[in-house]
Amino acid sequence: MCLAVPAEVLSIDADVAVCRVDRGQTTVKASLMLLPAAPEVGEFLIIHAGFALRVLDREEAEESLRALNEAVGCPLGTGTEE
Amino acid sequence: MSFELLEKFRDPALCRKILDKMESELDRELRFMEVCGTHTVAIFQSGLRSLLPEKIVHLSGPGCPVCVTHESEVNAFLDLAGHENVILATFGDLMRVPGDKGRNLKKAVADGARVKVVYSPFDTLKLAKENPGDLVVFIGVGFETTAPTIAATMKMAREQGIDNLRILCFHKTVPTALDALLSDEAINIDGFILPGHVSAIIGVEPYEFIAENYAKSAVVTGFEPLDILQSLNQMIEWRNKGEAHVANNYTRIVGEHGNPKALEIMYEVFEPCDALWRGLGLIPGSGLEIRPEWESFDAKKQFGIEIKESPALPGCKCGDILKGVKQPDQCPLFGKACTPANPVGPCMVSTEGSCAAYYKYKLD
Ligand code: SF4
Ligand code: SF4
Repeated sequence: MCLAVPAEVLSIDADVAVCRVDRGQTTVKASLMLLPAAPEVGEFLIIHAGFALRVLDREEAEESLRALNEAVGCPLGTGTEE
Repeated sequence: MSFELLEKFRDPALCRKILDKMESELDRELRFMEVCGTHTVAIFQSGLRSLLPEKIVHLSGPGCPVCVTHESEVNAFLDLAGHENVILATFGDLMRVPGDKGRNLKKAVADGARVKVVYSPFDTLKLAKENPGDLVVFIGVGFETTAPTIAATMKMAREQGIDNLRILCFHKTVPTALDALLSDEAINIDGFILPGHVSAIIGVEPYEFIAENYAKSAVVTGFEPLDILQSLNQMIEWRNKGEAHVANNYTRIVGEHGNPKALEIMYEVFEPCDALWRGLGLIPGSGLEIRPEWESFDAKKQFGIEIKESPALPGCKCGDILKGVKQPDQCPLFGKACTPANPVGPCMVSTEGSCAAYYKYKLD
C-alpha cells in the first residue's frame, strides 16, 4: 500500500512536480507541499501517495557507496574488481 | 544519470562480498525483523531471502498498514459502506481485507455501496467537489509516511472551502509499536531493519530507545539489496562485539531529524492517541487522532464510531506473525484455506503482507 518510489523531476508548476519513474516514459505528479524546500529539475524525489516526501541527497548516496566498498575491503574500487 | 547512481546499490559482486563476510562472522543465530512492508517485498523479490546465511532468521513484523489495521477498524469501515450519502474513498489494498461474517469492501460494492479507490488522498478533494450532496469518507490507514499526506489534504480542503470530506482516522506510529514488541518477553528479536520512508519523516532519534533501553540494534535502511545487506552486516558486527546501536544507513533519504515540514503538518492536524493493533492489541500512544480544531473532518465523531477489542478471525495466526513468534507457513490455514485469491487474514491480502510474500515467493 505504501510503496514509495524514486522519481526524477522533469518540471515544476505551482507546487506540483511532474516526475519520471524509472527510465521509462511513465510520469507521475507529486505535490511538493511536504518538502521544506522546492527541488530542482533533475533532482530525485521519493514519492508516496502523490506527495514528495524527501529529495534524494546525491552526495550522501555517493558517500554511502564509498563506505560500502570500504566495509568489504575494496576502498577504491566499485566492488566489481578484486 | 542518477538512475545509474541508484543502480549501484544493487551491484551483485558487492552483495556477494557482504554475504560472504556475514557468513564468516556469524557464529550464532541472529533473529532480525523488518518492520516495513516494502522491505518484506524487497527481500523476497531480489532473491536475498534465499541467499542469506542460514543462521539468519528473517521475520516480518508489523510493517504493513493493511495487516495492522485492527479487526474492529475493518468492521467500522465495512459498516460505513452502504450508508446513505456516503462515498468511501480508500487505497486499493483495503478492498479485500476480510471483516466479520465474511464481509469485505468488494462485496459491499456488489451490494451497491459506493467505494472509490484512489491513488492519492489528494484525489479525494476532486471527488468531494464533484459530489457536493454526499460525504466523501477517506479511510486513513498507514504510518508516518502516509499520515502527513492526509494532513496536507485536510489542509487543502479547508483552504478550498470543501466541507464534505471526512477522514476515518486509523493512523499508527512505528516507534511505539517497536517499544511494545521489545517489552514483550515472548518475543525474541536481535535487531530491527528500520523502515526507510517512515524514517524519512520522523528521523532517527525516535528509535534511540531501542539501544538505550533494550540493548538491541536497529538500522534505518533503504530498499536496495546492498542497503539491506549492509544493515544486517553491521548488526552482526555489533553483536559480535557485544554492542548495540541505532544507526542510519539510508542517509541519501533520511536526515537525522527527518522531514520537519511534514512533521509540522502532521502534528498540526493529528495528535497522539492510544490505538488497537491487529495481533498486538492496545498500545498506548501508538495512534494518531484528529485534533479538536479539525473535528469537522472526523468521521469517527460524526458517525459515533467506537473502536474496541473484538475477537480475532477464527484460525488466523496473523497476530503471531506480526509479532515474529510464528512464520507464515506455521499457520494451519497457510496455502490451504488461505491463499492470495481467497485470503482469510489481512497478511495474505496486501502484496506487502508477510503471508502473501511468503506464498508468492516460496511456492513459486
Ligand atoms: S516505510 Fe513506508 S513503505 Fe515501509 S511500511 Fe512504512 S510506510 Fe510502508
Ligand atoms: S496464512 Fe492466512 S490465516 Fe494464516 S496467518 Fe496468514 S493471513 Fe492469517
